[in-house]
Amino acid sequence: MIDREAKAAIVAIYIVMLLVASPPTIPFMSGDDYYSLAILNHECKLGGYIVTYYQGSTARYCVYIANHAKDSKILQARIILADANETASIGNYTVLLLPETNATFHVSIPLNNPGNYTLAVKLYILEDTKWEDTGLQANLTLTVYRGPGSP
Amino acid sequence: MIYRKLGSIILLIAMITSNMVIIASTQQIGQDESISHVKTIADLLNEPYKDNFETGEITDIVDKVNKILLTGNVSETSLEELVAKAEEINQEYRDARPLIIASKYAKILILAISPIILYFSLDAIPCAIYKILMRRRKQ
Repeated sequence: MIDREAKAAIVAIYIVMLLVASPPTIPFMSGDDYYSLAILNHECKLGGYIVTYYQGSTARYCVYIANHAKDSKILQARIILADANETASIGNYTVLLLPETNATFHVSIPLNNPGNYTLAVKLYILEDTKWEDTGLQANLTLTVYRGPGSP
Repeated sequence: MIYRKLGSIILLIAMITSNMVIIASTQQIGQDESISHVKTIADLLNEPYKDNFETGEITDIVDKVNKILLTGNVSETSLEELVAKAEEINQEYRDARPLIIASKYAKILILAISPIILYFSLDAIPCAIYKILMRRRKQ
């Protein structure tokens, strides 16, 4: 026979292990909704970003979006290229993401004029019939030099 | 009295300002049919995916939707086909739903009663082994 204290200890350890292991099994024990956004390099990896270009070249990056909400969401990444004078929209990329899934896609940015630019990616979410800003934004500073053959 | 009036004016201004901020931060979507199709697909597949029903087929539909959205080759027919597929999965899920819910609650029930079973089996199992051993020794 196992004595009472040992039995209580075994059951207590088992309950703790159960509580640690059960959140993925029990659906209502999940956390808050949140989303992720990141700019990745041309190989769709973190780091090693090319940020200097010649005029007339095309910058290539990847954008990573993840949905950590409990429901499927329609998310939109809005790519903006801004310099000191003006802001240009490069494009809007919309994806449907199931809970705990992500998407990565390539973006190409034509760089026609020399100068310093900020590449900004903003994340929007479709709520009912409106696009709402999630508040998430990823930035990258680019420098475009006058090309060797350019005037 | 003056403070009360002043307070209500400040509150009113704050409410108007916050509403203006909300309006400014949201953009009305136009009559975009493709987005409404995508939204329908999202709504239809949400519950089945959360209950791990036909996950492979669901991810396949979502991949196709995203391919259409990202490449910009949005054709109404292809999206309508995907909506039809999503509806099919949703219907299958609704038919199987009572069983899925029963298995979900059974899982929770097993998790809840397992410490009690363990508590009693801690005594019962060594006891049973001891009895078997004693019986063999007697023989």
